[in-house]
Amino acid sequence: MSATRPSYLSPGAPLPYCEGCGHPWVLRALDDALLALDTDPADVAIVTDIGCVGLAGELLHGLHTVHTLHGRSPALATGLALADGALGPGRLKPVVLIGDGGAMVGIAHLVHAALLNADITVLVHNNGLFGISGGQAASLAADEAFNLSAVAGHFTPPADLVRLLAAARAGFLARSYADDPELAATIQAAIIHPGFAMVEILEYCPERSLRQEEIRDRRLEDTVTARGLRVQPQRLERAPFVQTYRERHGILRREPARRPPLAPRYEANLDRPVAIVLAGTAGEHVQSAARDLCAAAVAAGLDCTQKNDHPVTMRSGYSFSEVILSPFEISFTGVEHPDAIIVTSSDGLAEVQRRQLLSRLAPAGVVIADDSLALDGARRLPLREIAGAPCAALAGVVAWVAQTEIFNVDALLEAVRARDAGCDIAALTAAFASVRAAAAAASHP
Amino acid sequence: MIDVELLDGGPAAPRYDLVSGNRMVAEGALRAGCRFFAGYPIAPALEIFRAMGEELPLGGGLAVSAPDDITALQYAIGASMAGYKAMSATSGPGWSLMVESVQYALMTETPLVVAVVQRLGPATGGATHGAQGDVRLVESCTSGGYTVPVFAPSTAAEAYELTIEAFNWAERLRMPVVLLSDKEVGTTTERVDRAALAGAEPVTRQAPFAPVGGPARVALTGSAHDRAGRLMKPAGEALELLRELEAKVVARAPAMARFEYRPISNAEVVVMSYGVTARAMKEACRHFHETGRLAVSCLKLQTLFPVPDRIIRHAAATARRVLVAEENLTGQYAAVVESVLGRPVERLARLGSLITPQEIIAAVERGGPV
Repeated sequence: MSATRPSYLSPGAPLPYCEGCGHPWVLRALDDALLALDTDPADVAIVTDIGCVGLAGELLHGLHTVHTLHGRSPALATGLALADGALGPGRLKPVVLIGDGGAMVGIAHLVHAALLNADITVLVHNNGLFGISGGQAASLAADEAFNLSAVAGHFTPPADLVRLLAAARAGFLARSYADDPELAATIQAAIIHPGFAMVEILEYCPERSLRQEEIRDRRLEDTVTARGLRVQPQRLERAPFVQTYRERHGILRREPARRPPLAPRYEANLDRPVAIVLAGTAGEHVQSAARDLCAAAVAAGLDCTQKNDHPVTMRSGYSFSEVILSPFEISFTGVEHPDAIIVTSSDGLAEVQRRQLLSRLAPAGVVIADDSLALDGARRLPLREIAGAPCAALAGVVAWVAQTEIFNVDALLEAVRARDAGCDIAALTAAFASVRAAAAAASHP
Repeated sequence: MIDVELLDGGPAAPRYDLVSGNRMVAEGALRAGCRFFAGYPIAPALEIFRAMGEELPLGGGLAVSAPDDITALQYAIGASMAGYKAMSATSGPGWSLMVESVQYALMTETPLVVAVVQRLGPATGGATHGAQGDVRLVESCTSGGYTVPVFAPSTAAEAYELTIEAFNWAERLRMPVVLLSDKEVGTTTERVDRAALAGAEPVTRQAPFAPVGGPARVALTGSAHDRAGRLMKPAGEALELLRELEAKVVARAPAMARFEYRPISNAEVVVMSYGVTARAMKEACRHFHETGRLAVSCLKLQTLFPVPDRIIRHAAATARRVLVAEENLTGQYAAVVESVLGRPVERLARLGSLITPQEIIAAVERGGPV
């Protein structure tokens, strides 16, 4: 190499790799590719993995270099590319230098980067083994020819990284070998490719895979050709991530539904915290009813906390909410002794019983249950019939408000309207009046 | 729009939203200038991911879904190196996978925020069951025992404020910072007046931070290195840098200490807690203040690490007894307090459900075995 030839590699300095190793060939090809691209060095980030390949960052001068954890280089490079593409000028070209061991560690990163079509170029230096650590067999050996002397044996067939990533719809894929005269051109094409590009580069590890005399006798090209391992660049036309993101951005860029803030404007008749438990069936808007109760309480100047629970399946089994209302700031949010239990279905009742809540009911606490449930001591009302299953919990809340008169029912109905709950307000109002009348009659016999 | 209340000369009437701690973590992150979120879904941190997915694109930011927790944090690290404030959110199982990457961010001095919303462990544990069992897991995640800053909110409003704090310290210190929430604080909905939130002014990212892709050439490595970022056998300058990684945190510990402390004269007992259990502690303290049964002071710690040792020593100085209440099996933070005070403290530590105010009251009155 002439001292005057422009290069990102140190002019004249030997590369610190074993004789016969493929890594220097790849570095020189990468150097040639970058020079041919005539790119601004600030727009290139060399992202190196662990292993002998990790030394490369220090051998390439004037470029950004990031030396990563083992196998993580494709993911870190993807983070660089996604951020620069979506948030920045979109000029950054991360080039990942990784071995076959690291590629298998980070196989999920590679697959996802390919799926995203993140604009990164990955050069997989595949010598079929872990060179720096003693020649243990790696999983991505293209052919058993590359790891004849694997430590502890070699028991798996070669895995084909090109086909693996083709299945992940990678945009640019090629398999070459270290001293391939076309390698620089292939790397150049990979870097230019707008999206994910992977070039697998087959090498021998002179230290671990074969004895020196065997390497002298076996040209890499002959092995690659004889075994049909070469893959000419294959492209899949896909929009790069940034383009997809910008297109979908329009769809994503939609204001989420926001509820207007609540300004206290109702009176509340409450001098201590009360806890209300709502229990019913998943999908029947139990937690939404609890939310309405909370919104009404806040509109009435109370503090409120709400905790929800449901089985992992979410849409089957019980649905459960714990609500605390208080005239002063609520600190502790647990419910030991509920002041009210509202149960709308057998799923809800089973959960209330599992938690042994009935026996923990506060003194003077009330239980409001749908009349389909056999529950001694409960105020049984046709909640499901009054309002329909999706509004039964709300009907229970209405009944509780009617019975306790903690705040005006209008605060609750306003919250229901704001949610656009689709509940029959007239039916709820009628239920309120009926419970109210019964409560009045009970207090004035 | 003209605010009628302000024209009237009176204070604006409060306007409340019903929001969760998780939601307020996301809002704090946005306020702090977070531009990039990479997530992998995990209960009970899900709403942070959802909120960032909804809100970030509105402000031109990017929220991306990763195929696993490790990839998520690596994406965030890459984005941060490229110059953008970045975060992820997870719970114990996801954090366990992220530990390698957290150490990498620490070693490469990359600003990063991870919200860890604790659930019951170990392993998969209870996905929707609360606990405060990840305190040591989060703090002791580095080989070498480096201090990873940890802030712990106990309310939705604090989740907002401490998330901004986490971002600011991540920027100042150039390192990963953890916002350690829990299932109860994260998913319980409560009343918040957004106008009354008190968040610090965001620290902007600026020179001398040099992004990868910027005009100044950047060299970063997770291996031992010199000041130029060159790989180096761990000696001399490389060792000096390792010491600086810790020293930069320790030196700022007093400024990082956030807590709530109302001193009681001649306090016989001081109760210390954090996160959701600090809410029960607050009620227990109110009980003692109102009944006057016992002189009890309470210290709520919002900064867990670096250990706010000055306030811990100060609060314990005159008290005969110190009780640390937390929802884990062994009293993970009690051990920290003991090491600060150099004497045994009483522990109210158990798991399975919220520690109640009554339990704390009983523990204070009983005077447990140390």
